[in-house]
Amino acid sequence: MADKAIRICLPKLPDGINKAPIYYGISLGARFLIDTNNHGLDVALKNTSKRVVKEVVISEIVESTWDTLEEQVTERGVGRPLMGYAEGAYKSTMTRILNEGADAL
Amino acid sequence: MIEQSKEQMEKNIKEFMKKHGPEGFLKLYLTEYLSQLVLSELRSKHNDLKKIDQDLGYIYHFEGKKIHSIKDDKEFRERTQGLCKEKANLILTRLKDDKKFTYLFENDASKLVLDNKELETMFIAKMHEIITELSESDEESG
Repeated sequence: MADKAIRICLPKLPDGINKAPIYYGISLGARFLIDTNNHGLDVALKNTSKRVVKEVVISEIVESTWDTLEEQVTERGVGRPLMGYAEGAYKSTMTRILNEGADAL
Repeated sequence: MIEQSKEQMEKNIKEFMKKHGPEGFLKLYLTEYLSQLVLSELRSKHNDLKKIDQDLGYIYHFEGKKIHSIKDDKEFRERTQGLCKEKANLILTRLKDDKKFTYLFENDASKLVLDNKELETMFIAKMHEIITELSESDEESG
């Protein structure tokens, strides 16, 4: 059943701009992690979050960085469900890394 | 989830990057994206088939007339996640093979910006190409 599900769903991923959320999530997440690794968390947050992160906790970091991205791309007309998958994937992945470190993978 | 201090979060990220690099993030992210896509589609999908017991949305929740147990649900999600992880690895291998996308695997954030339309367009086209190839390969293998 799971095999069948993937075979059916994967090719139905819409084409064109609707694949862009995958790229947005990758760019944002990779940028945040690389900046933190190279320059520290404060610099990474400054580069990826428009609003001031009042409380440096996992949920606030993840929410504020994604919200900033969504503001930047909202006018590009990407379908909401597909942004939703990218958002869910980004938040889930970043939460795991922030929480578990190297054990996240 | 136990809340971490700022110092611990920074340490966690550095340990992750030291052990797995940007590729590790890509693996996790793509796996999660595909899992969410598939599970969401399954929960809501209705086929064109007339028989309800062949409707994917129905099958996701029910077996015969009985609703799936929590244990069955969990096992299905884990199996789906495993398959999505395999697909994610295949996608990443294809991306790595293309020199245009080397920057995604490097420890340099300078190209990871949202206003570079050229890179965005190239990535979208590449994803379409990869997913089409993988889908055709799935069809051939039956």
